Amino acid sequence: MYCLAQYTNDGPLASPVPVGLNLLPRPPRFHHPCSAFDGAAAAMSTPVDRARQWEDGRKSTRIRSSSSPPSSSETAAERLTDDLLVEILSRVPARSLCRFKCVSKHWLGLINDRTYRRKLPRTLTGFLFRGTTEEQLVHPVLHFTNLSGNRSRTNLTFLPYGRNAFLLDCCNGLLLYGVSAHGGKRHYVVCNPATEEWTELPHCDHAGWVGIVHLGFDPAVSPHFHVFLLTDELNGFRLPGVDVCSYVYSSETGRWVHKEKKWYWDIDLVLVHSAAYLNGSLHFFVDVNHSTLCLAADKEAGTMIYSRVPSLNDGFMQQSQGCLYYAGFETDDNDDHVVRLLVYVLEDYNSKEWILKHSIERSHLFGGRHDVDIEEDFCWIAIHPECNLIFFTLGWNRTFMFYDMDRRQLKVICNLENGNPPYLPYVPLYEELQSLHK
Amino acid sequence: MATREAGKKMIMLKSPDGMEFEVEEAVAMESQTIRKMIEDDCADTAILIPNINSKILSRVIEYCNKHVPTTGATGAAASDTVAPAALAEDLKIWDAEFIKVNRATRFNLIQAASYLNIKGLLDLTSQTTIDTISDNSLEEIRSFLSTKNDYLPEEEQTIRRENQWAFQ
Repeated sequence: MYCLAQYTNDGPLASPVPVGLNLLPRPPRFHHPCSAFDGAAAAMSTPVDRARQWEDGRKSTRIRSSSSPPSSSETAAERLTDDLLVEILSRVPARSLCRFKCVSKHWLGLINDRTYRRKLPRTLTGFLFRGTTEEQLVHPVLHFTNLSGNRSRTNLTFLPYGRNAFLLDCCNGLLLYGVSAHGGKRHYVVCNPATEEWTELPHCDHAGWVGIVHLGFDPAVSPHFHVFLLTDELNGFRLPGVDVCSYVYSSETGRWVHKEKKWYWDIDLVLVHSAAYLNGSLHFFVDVNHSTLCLAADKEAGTMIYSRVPSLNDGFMQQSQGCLYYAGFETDDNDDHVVRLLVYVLEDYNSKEWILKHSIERSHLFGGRHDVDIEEDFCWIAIHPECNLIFFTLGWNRTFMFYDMDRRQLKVICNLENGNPPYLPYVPLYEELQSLHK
Repeated sequence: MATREAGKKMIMLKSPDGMEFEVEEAVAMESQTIRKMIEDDCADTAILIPNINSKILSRVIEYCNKHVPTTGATGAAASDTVAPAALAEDLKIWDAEFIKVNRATRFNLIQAASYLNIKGLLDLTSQTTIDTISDNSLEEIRSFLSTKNDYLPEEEQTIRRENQWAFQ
């Protein structure tokens, strides 16, 4: 039987074409008209044995009987080569493409095909999380769970780092590792597990505590990535506020740039647990004097206040559907009791106007459970990059679930007991990147 | 412009069912495949287009005629007096009318556009197909593209569960 958990030898990142699907040679896409074009129809039909397909047809599908000749559109559709089908499919949104995987095994094979998938839109396949230090003796180990909870493990054998490598972030298919070296120094490595390309960044001689370290990469905009590193240090004896140093590495220039900014409030960057890369800047929120601000760190290492955001408990920021999303829990004014989850979206980046997109009562969100302690039990995972699903874990056994904002439904996926957060959303990238070649 | 008008080179395109179409070289060169042949001196005055019947070929030529850069084909008048944005809008409306064809013709046009390497036509035909099917049920898509569901029931259940989020 065809098995969906394709993640065997190749790990979660390669998703090989399932056994039994066609990989017969395809006709070249463009035949030079000078050359002979014998048997055009035969050469252009899809490689799957169509005759056999019709023979074992079920009642739900139309069976072409020999007495009635096929309609002209049927034959025309059958003459669409795999190349042409992929040409058509490359124009659908990632979400439709996922639905189209259910059309037939043949389509699934095309969508997963190593050559074709470079042309097709990509979307979230699941979440990555760290291996334990015991596992990582020779190479970094990556754990993965797909959206239905099937888990797997991959050894990144192409990376020459062992237990000193620490997975920090994942952005549109690229991973950021921190590698600790002698003397407490750390350097950074960016890799693409799907193509096994990687590069080690030049050393960044930063001062202060590293509060935020994130990767910024959007292949739709640029083949280059940025690494953002923000440190904070107290302004000095008895002075309020902190010095925030922003260090940004650009794969385009191959260099770090850095700028320093004095803030006259106490901002604690270590408390920043989520950040979103959009429009070339990294966005995150900090609590300042009883209010919450969204800050933006740009590629030139500048840091600025982007806007004020509603103050929420256990907030979370992410990019989804091309917009910034900010979500968190609203508490009761009287007793700090969490009452509901609020989701805000910034539909127009220039307006700086956060619109309340969704509100869900705590009791509904947690399926009637009243013993949930948000700070202890609840752990954000992600907002789906293409649709209104929120992924999180709940409880000591890390029940992995998602909440569907459109249907207002909660679904449990699996338990992630021995998997350690953070769970990083993974959208594979199959293109080779010049910026990952040293 | 007048000299170009006078000195237009014509190319004969032949379909396998014996029809001949005389078109301007500039129009024929909307097809990258034909352009390459002409540039490589592979073409004399007649080119046999082996797998595209006359009905489809005539539609393809109609498309190329409309899309050939206006300065070369229809003379200076159009491009000098009409703003580029208006021209683009006009083309869009024309395209929308042009693609109102039945399913078989559209698939044949996709093949022809791919074979002749006419990017605009391939974009138009593929996008229209996607627009037609993207909101359809799986069964409708299968029927539209004559694809058979070769999943076993339990396999289909698994793959649907896997991609559940996309069914909303």
